[in-house]
Amino acid sequence: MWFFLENNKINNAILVMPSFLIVFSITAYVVVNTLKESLGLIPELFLYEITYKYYANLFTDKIFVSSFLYSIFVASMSSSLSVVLGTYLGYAISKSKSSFTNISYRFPIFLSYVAAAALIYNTYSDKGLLYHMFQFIGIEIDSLNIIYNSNGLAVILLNMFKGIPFIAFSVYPILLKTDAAYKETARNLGCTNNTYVMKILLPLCKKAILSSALVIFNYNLFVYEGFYFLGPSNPPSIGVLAYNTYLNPDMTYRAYGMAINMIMIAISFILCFVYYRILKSENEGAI
Amino acid sequence: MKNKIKIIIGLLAVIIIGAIFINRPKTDNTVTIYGWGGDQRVNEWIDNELAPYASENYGIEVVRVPMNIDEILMKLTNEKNYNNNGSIDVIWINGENFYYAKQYDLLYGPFLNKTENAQKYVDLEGPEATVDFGYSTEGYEAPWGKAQFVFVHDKELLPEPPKNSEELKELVKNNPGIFTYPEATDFVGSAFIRTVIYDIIGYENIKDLPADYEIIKEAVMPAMNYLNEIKPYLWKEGKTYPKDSAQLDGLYQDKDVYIAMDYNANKALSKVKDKSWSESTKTFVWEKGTPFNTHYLAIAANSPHVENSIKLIEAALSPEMQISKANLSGWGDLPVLEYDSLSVNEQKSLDEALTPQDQYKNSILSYDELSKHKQPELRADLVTIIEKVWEDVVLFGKQ
Repeated sequence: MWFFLENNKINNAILVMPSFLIVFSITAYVVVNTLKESLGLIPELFLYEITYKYYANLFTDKIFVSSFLYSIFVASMSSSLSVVLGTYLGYAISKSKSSFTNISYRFPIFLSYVAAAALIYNTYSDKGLLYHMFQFIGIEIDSLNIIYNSNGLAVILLNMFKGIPFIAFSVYPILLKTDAAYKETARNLGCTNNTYVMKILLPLCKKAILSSALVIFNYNLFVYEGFYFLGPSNPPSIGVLAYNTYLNPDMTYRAYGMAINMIMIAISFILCFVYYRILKSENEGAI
Repeated sequence: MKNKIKIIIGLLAVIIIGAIFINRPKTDNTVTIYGWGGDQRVNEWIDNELAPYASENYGIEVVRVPMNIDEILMKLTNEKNYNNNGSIDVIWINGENFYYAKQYDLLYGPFLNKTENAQKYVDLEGPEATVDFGYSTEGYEAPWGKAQFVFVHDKELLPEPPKNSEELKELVKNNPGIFTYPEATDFVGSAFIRTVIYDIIGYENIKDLPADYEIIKEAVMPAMNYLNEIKPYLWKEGKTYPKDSAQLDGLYQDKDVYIAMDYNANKALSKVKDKSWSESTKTFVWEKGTPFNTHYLAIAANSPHVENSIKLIEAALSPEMQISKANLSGWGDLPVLEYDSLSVNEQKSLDEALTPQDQYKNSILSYDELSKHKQPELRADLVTIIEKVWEDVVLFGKQ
């Protein structure tokens, strides 16, 4: 025992072991159980035979395919806009000297998704804050048509509200290190403002931008709350479809719900692998 | 050395605290009641009327857990193998949820014959005690209350409400955007779809059909075609539907839509009383009637407190609680007790509870008026298929 405590590496491993074991065992249990039920093995519902029919039926189901494409569209739009605006926000904050700005931009990150959805709803609903502001300044509008919009406008706004500060938070430490002297040196070497941003700043942040973009894309792709509270009835997002299918009163649909969940887990694992590769790639971003 | 001691002490503390929590003795007088928590009046009635009454008269501590019934069924299924060690005791349930819960052995029973108040006050041979959405209850649930689907309109905005599906179609075509209904996954939305089916096809032409998707789809297609026809004239051009009746209530309150609907015939009165809805609000039904059903209390198969659960059901079926539940100032739920089995004083109290104050008496339909327009519910398995057909044909446009 004392030998282990003397050895630094083993000591560290022992210290992380309790939390690692809890996280690992819960994740492993969930993945195995999801896979088992998605293959039709649910003894509680008297289903005992392994079958791939739930997957086969899903991939030929028009509703599943359209909800999957819809989720990809909303997630891509949300994460691309968040990356562009979040990087700019990070740059602006790195130049700001106000400690209030430095703290306040992080507020949406700490807000829960449900609370953020409520905020978006209260602001953009047909009789919400924005509607009343327009009324106040004398602009007559029948309906804003942002919430429940079939293009997922409200969900994109919600994802951006959460995503922009997250990206800014990731690039901010790197941009902070590029102080005035750094910029001046680049200028002396013949660098224009544009070239400085495109050829020096952005490549420095590339790794941070790519990895955090991947995180928010994955989250936006399968998030449930945003689509459920602010999205249209048709098409449903893949997360909402999984939830509704799983909770169908006819409990045999549960296997379909689990098959959708398993597809989401598989895609998340692939994205995790890509994330890991980005982190392991050349040490860009170090100054 | 100090660090090593700290680590060891920390680990021991975690183990001891864990052991205390794992072996913590459960208090034996508790009973949980799981059910839909989306109506404040219902929640308040359980917390402020039923729980104190059960505590005073039966010595049990009632813990209300608000949860949607589909989530309750999921929890019951997940805990199915926890022999007598589940977390759910009593469940507020009916219809297709009872049908599937019983089919998968998720309920305890039969117990109805063990409840004294059911024997004294409920007609145990009558349809309310024996049949739930077309299927025999076999004593696995106790009738708790009755409800009828009604529409709600604001007579200042809409002086002449539609009396049937044709009039509704005419109304929405002439006034696009003033009407919508909740998705079929919501029980009120599902009841509206059945009301349309009763009006266009007729209850008698559906009730005995086999539970086969294709057969049911073919039979209900005229109603689905009707719903597709009015779809472009609905709120948001039918591109989205309210998720549940609470959302529809909000739209009605904001005057975005002119008609609301509910499976509680008396809810409109309390909404008017608490000023959520305008005083010109009135309930109405269609000429051919609207679905009427009974809701029940059941016990989870793996309930750790079966005796307490039966005591809670005894309390819920007592005349005091049934009269209190019927009070229009509170929940306003129709009682399941046989009127003749009550004492003269109890009958008087029930009459008083069900009589609205003069200023509100026009807000809701009388019990007689509702009775004239009540239609039985379809079989539970047919209801589930109809909801799926609506989703496929109307929501997703699959033919």
